[in-house]
Amino acid sequence: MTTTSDLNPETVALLERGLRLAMRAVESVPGAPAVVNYLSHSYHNDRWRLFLEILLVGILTKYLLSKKYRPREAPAVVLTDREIDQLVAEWEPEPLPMPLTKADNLILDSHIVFNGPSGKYLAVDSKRCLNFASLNFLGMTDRIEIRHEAEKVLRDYGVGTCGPPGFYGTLDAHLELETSIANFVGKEMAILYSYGFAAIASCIPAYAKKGDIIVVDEAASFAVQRGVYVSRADVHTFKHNDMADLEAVLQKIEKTRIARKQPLTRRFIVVEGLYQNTGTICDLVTVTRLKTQYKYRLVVEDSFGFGTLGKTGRGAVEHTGADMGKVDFYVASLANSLAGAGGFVAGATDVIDHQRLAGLGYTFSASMPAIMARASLRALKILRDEPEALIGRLRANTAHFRQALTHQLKAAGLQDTVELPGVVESPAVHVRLVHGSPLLAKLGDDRFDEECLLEAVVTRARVGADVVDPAEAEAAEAAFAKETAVGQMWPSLAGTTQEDLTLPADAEKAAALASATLLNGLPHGGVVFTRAKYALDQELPVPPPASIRVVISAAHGQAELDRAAAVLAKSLKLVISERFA
Amino acid sequence: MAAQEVERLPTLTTGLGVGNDNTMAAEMAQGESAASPFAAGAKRTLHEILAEAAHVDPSASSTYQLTSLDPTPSTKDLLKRNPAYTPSEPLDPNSVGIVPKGLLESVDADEFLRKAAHQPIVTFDDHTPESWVYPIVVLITHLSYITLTVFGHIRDFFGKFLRPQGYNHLKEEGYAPLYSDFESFYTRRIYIRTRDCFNRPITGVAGARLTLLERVTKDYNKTFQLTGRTREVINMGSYNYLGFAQNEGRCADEVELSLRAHGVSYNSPRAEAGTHALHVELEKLTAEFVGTEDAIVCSMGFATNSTIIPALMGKGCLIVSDELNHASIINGCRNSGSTTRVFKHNCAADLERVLRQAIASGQPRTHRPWRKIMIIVEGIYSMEGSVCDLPRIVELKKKYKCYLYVDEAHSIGALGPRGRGICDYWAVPTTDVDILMGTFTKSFGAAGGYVASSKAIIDTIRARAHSSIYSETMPPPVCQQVISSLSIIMGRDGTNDGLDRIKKLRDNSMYLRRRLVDAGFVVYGDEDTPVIPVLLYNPSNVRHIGTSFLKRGIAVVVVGFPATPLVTSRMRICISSAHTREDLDKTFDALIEESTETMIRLNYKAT
Repeated sequence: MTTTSDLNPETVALLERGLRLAMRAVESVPGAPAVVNYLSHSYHNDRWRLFLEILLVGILTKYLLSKKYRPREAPAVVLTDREIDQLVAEWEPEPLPMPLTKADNLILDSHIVFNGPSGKYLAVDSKRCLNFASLNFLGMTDRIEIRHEAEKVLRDYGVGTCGPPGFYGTLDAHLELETSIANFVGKEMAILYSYGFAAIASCIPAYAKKGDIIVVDEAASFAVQRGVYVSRADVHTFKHNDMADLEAVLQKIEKTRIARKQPLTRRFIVVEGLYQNTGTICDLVTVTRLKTQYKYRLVVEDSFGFGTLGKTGRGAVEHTGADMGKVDFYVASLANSLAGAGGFVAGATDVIDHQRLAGLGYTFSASMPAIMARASLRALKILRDEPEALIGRLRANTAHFRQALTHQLKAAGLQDTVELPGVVESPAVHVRLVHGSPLLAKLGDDRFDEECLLEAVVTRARVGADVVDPAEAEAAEAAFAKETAVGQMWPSLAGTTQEDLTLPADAEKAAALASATLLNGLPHGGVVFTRAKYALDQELPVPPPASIRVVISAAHGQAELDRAAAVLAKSLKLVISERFA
Repeated sequence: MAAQEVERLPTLTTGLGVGNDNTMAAEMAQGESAASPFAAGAKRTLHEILAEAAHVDPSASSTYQLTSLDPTPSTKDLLKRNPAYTPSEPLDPNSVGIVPKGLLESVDADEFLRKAAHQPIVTFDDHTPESWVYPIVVLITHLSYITLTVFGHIRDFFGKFLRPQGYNHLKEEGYAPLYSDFESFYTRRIYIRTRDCFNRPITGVAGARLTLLERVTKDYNKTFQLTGRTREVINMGSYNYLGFAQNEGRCADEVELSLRAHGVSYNSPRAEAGTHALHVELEKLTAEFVGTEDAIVCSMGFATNSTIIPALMGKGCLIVSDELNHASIINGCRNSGSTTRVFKHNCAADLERVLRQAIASGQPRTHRPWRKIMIIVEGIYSMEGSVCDLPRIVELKKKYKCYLYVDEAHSIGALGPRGRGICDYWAVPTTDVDILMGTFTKSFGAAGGYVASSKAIIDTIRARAHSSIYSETMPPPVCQQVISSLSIIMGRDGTNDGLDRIKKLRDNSMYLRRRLVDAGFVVYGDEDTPVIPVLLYNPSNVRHIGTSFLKRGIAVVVVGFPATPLVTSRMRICISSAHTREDLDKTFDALIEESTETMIRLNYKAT
């Protein structure tokens, strides 16, 4: 032990002074006396405790100051600049446009360009063709009142809204349409999206996040798949419209959750009312029962069913007699039955309001042009005023077409070769080839072959000289004109006349426009059908089988339906016999 | 114009700006004469500017002083940004100032001319205001949010006991709450306080003026009731850059005719009997306008990004995206299934860092080389008002063999001497950008979007994009509106209307922005973009500005967290060529008056 006597007294004095100064400096720090007090007491009571405490503080400080471990950011191997330059020089990217597959080329080549309005007729290649391809279920695009309304709206609102709904893009026209739709389908509130695809694709991710559970029908249409996929939730599929399988999936999920003691997450069942890809109607009564029993939220996408199913056009929910109150989200497109553009989601006020901030396609997109909103509003009014005339007629037309086509197929000897799956109420009839049937024995499993075959049928029906008979077309149209009640609803060929197209300033242009678009002046052509087209490699999980999708409209006359059926059957027969002769 | 190279800053002012502003307004009222540096069309040489500048006496009673007289640094800067390029067409030397030979010996005069016409005059690279008040403002802003949050939680705590029915939607028996805690809390306790500034319903055309539907709330912004009264206000919120939101004039007439000839809507996807002659015409015209081989249109701008990116990129591909890219791009990236990395906003250096690292390390886990890499940027960033640094990005894109996708939602029509967007602005050939995407919502007064590129790429999109195969086509009136407005911009109607609109827009944008900057507001973005974000900071300012401007008869857009970073809440002014000087002056005056209460003129120098 060293004593103070060993040291120079001057040094001691200096040390003491320094110590005193240091103490004073420490004491001047707010709270320092308390710390010093604590330390000295602690030292007196238990020296080991103090030691441990200081150690602890030291470790804590070291931990806090240490570099955070970020596994994603730091590359495992640190490369020098020269090495990176070399890697950059060696790297050869693929070309940006993906090489077009045969199927892509088929889609590109099968685009048809029409002119003038799109309704019961389409002007393709300057011929007036019957249209069985557009999703114009209720014949609304032919209605002259809607066009007049649009002209009026144009003079009030212009075309674009120049802003998203949040920033001066919400028009009274939108509010009116939202209220009308909500009242019509029987929900508290509806929200409009300016694009049909965006409605469902934004609605699901607005609620379903990572870790949530979505149970979806495997045959759901592409927009639904996208919404489900982009939400990043855990996706479970069940067999198409198989309620037993749905229940099994729900049970399995619940069992897993309990076994793994996972917390309760948001859970959704996503179905379509009327399936676009199969033409079947979802068993919504059972789905709503299961949904309540297993406590899921239910999303029903009903773009094809809205306006076409149920007594008054309220869609698959009304048709199946399910309880609309149990459907949390009712989603449909306005472009099909209501002659507008975009789509809507209807539900409870609290829930739908959330989408006004979280629905990406709503918040970050310009709102729907007033013309489209008002057109849909007008169409909705027509649907409400005359549901019988429209839906009754559509149903009768659909039944008539199926019957006529079945009859024609039988007459052509194709009854075993071609099938018409789906329910009789579906206005979109999928015409499919039966694999393994005697006539198609040589048709391989190649999807592309089958698509080509169907495309040939579609082209034949539109332009084939041996199939298309203008005289028949004229007779069919004449027969339609005789159905007086219907004739009033859909005035002859969309009701446009030469005078409508004449502007005082530009007579020459008006004449050119008239000659290209006035259906009245065009000679008769064939029938426009379309293959159901899919982005095959992007479809999850099961691409729907190839088909020709025939869309029946309330605007079609019976004679026209008969003619379309005859043309289709004939084209099928000719193409199949030529191909497999 | 070279004239605007000369920076102007306010000096020596007495009292709060009103007096000065009057002087300034008077100076501006001299209008288009060459004396005002604000006159966009002024034909002056650099010599003249320099000579004039030299005569300015700092001690004179003028409230303005020209500080930066040497145009060389900005030229150098410019050349650093944009290296050699091949001009597509010669520029009219009369339209911009003449370069004095002695001054810029090392610089290709032609090149300088071309750039002088397009280049942003002041780039607000460093957004942090210099004022000593700034840290206090940041602190107060944080405190405001903390207060809002604490009070919100207190209200929730008592509310759950006293008024449980108000929380029913959060705790349904056996169900998990439909939205996460944060989202729900934010909406109920913070957003709702400013909710009356958003989703304001209007009627009629959103042009230079708009007609608001008056609404009231009886339950603190939970629900609104329309009173039936309407009010006309100045519209500083819509993206009506070229003023084509009109219900009369050539466009509307042609749309009406088109409605009669082509109907209202088509209910088929493009691939299934939904391609109309109008679509074909529009695509041809768009490609010609943008300067590419081919184009495809889609009926919604958001969907253009979110459905077309997946047609080009897939698994094993990398998307390098600007951190402030629009939600539609983020959605498209997610949809595509490719990996996404972000780089710092408009920062070429950071982009290079990300690219180098990505190429060196390859795909995550497997470390295989990427199949392809695409850089996605925007032309004008709608919340920042900044112009994308295209030349530097093009340089990097070439160096690292990536593809470049530019979203021109806000820049098409609004930038460039001919309104042809970002490439026109920087004089970069369009072939240097692989994909030019844009929307028709903004400058064209319509709706929807387009993608313009080479034929091979557009064919891929036509065959594979979700929008061509699965969703409805663009309605004919919308197509016609775009065709008509495009024709006007391109001068096909035989008038100068289009060019006048472009000029007026640039003129208006620079006028208001320069006034705001000079008055000491913190303004983001580049000098000649029509998007002018004015920083508000405090969340209470957001609501205050939103409501008080409405009282003054001006509709503006205010944005706060989480659409912006926490501190930088802002007000966004969107300039239109339809605005008059009076509209802009009114907006400016309103901001000056409100600024005393809101303390937002942080760069104000009252020395």
